[in-house]
Amino acid sequence: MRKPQRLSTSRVCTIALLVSLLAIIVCTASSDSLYALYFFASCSPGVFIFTIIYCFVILALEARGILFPNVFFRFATPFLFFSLIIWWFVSENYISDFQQYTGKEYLGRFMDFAFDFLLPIGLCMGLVSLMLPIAKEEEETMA
Amino acid sequence: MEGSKKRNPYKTNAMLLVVIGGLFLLTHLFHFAFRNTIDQPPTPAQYAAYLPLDSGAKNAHLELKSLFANNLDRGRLLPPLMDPVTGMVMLNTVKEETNYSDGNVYYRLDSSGRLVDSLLVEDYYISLNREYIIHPNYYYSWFLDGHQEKREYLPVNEDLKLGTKALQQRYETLYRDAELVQLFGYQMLWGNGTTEREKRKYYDTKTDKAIFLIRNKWYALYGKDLKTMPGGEKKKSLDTIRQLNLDQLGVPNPYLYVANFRKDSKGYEGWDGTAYLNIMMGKDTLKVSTGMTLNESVGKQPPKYVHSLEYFRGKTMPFAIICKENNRCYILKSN
Repeated sequence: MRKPQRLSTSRVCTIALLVSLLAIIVCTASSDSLYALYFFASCSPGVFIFTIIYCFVILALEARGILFPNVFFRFATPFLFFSLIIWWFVSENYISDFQQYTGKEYLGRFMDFAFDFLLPIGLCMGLVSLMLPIAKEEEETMA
Repeated sequence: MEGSKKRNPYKTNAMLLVVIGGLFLLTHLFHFAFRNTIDQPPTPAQYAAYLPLDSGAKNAHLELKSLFANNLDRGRLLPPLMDPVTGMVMLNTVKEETNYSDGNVYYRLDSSGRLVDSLLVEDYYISLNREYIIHPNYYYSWFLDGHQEKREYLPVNEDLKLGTKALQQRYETLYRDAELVQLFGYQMLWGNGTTEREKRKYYDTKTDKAIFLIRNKWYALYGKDLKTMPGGEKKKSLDTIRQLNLDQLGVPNPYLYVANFRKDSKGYEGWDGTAYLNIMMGKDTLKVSTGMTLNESVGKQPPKYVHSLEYFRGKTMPFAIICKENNRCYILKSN
């Protein structure tokens, strides 16, 4: 069993702070209106708390052996999972019920969605996965 | 530690990735490949001959002509009005611009349906009294004579020198002669645009204002408690033009109906698509096709569709006014 990774408070707070800042910047930059800044800024405490929970969940999953503790896997698995969930909920707004799309049109619609949702959450999740400490193999063998 | 039961996190994670990725792919397969095969039946060939309508359409008997040159966002259209004497038609659109002004645009059509003139009034508290456009501080007689300038009321008792008794007498004589009367309480006067001095002079003494139309001249009487004087307002409206009822989609009627609608895409609360209209006048029919939005009723089976076409025609009018989605207006005339 891999030793559960200890996560210091200062580390997790730094991550959460950076993620909430990044979320505000990316979301505001990709939106047309300056009022979006207020909206996203008002969301940032939620983002902050959510990021802290997210970090601990990732580490817990890694300790359980469900996630492989590697920068790629701890990014790609939750990212794909959240993309799927969000796509299920919002795809109705991007593709019409009466669609007759060519492949290119469909891709364009999906790219709209990707730009709106996947870009911000991808960047934030990427930041988290880079900054979370990775368990050392030696510790495991010694334990 | 090294038992066969031990999970291999690498394998587990790879499996997880494959499962989620597979679900994602399936979703897209459903959205693109499966739903793309659902198509609506092709539009019957008879609709190919419908004339496209942008700025107008005409055939041998009827002509539909756009009333306004460009299709700007011109706000809500109020029901058209007609002067029963001259047969002139007034259209009024209102757009809320800021908290302190509305953009009122008035259009004047002559009795044969030609757009003669238009007037923009940007202010608050604008109302219509017969053909006069009334603001507490000025009025327009534009609909009668085409003058585009603001006109001042002829002031009576502006210096507030009349006593209560004399004021009442003055009010009664003016009221007796007046064709139209409108009253403004002091609360809605002396607000924006008045100087501090005027405000002290009129607002603090609770001065109301009453306006009287006497022999085509408007008089404004200033005084206290005019709102409670006997008689009240004399307000008139030009004749409203009869609006014909066309709410049933696809059900023929003798003036205008949507014969067919082809859905193109789902909009916010309905369908965007092409409507095929049969427009009739007398025995003649004009067939046009135009882009339109249909609102779909929520939760009703089968769903009801509501379009936003309006058709105005008085009994004696030689033309009809057809409005589409509130901002496109057309005049229907026979050639």
